[in-house]
Amino acid sequence: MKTIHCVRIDLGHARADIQPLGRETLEHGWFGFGALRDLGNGGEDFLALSTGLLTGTCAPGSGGMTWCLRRGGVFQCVPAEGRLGAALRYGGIDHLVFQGACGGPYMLNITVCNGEITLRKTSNRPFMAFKDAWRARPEEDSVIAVVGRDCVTEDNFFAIGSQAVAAALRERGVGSLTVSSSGGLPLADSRGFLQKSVELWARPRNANSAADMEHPAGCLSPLPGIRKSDSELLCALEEEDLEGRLLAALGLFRWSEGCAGSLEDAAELAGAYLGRAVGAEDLRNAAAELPWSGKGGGE
Amino acid sequence: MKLLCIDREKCSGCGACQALCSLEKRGQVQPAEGRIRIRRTAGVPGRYAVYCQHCADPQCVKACLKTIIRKENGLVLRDFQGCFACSACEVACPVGAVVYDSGLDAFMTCDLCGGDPLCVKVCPAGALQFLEASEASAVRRGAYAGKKQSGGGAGHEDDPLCAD
Repeated sequence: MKTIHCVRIDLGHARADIQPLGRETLEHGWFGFGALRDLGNGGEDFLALSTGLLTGTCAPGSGGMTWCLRRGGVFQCVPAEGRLGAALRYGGIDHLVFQGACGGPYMLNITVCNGEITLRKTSNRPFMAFKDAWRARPEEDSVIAVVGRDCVTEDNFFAIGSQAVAAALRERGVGSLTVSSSGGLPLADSRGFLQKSVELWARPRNANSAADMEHPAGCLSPLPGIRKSDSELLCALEEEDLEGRLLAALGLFRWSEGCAGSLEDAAELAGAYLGRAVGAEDLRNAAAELPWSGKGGGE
Repeated sequence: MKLLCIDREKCSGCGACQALCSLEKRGQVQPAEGRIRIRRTAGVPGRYAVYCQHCADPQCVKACLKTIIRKENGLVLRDFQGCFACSACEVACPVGAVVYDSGLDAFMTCDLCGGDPLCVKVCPAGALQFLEASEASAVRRGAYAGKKQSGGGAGHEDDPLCAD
């Protein structure tokens, strides 16, 4: 069982601290909420990128990650899908929390390379920021996310953050994020997880006619990724959407849209990941523990 | 002899093959050490899977300083026990299919999972196929001829990185 790590990035002072948040359990592994427990009580604005228990595992839809933000008293969780969250997890980081704001007339590029974090100045024009990050990327497989005016994009194509998320990041002076990692995710029952994943991947086979070069799939997903022109498809989760919250909390994205699997499958995967029996009811019970603060402000 | 064959037009670059391969071979999800890898060299249109081609004249066999890589029954195979990770095979490989396995402390390539490749089972787009060499060749020639006939381009026109 691994330890959850949260990185707090102090944008005002251009420094970052990695902090352990405890062992990864079903109850403690919910997306971003480990971080939110500490941050959310003061009522101040905050912004975090969080991953779930199954983010970056090889199950279908496991490229899921969630932006948690509160601006002007409104709390939102925006689930998304991409390589960014998975790459963070491979580097041993589960949550990124952005604090303060960069004071200068420039934006910041945040590079996370195998758990090492560096901050440097970059252009405040999104396309230039992308080119700058592309040239400086530590490895060929580095994930580059750029904060645009309408959304956050990954690989200059996929939308991984809504307009609200992009606005919140730009307000803080974050221009781009580069994540690179060569590490891995250990699973308690790797054979069981592999078997279940193969079964789930086989289900949507041949049903995915849209997965082509014009509509490339999302990370670890058989479904086409969300293009930046379709960024409005990234919506904030409603407080009442229990299943959406549960799946997002686990790091799964768009299972309800034909990406194979039910809550029972998710429970089986979570069980294999943790090495203990987990049922759908356990997930629902654990969801009750989510410190979901709602859209009303979170106090 | 059967070989792994990819239809690049169908490959959506989802990374399922890479993640599952690493889980199968390494016992943990570690895509950087998967024996099949998705390369993203020029943004989104440049995504494609690379893996050992089991070349007719394998450069890795010639490059290996310990002569532990051999061609046997059409397959390029290696004994990882003797590998001292000099990376000569990695440098020599023309497709970049040789990967370092940190668990074994050796360079490895796709061994086709002993004749039942997992990546083929999970590819959601059906881009990866396990075919007889002659059939694979016919499929590729047919696809190339079809593309040429329809006047199809490389598909990089919309990529800003390629536009420079």
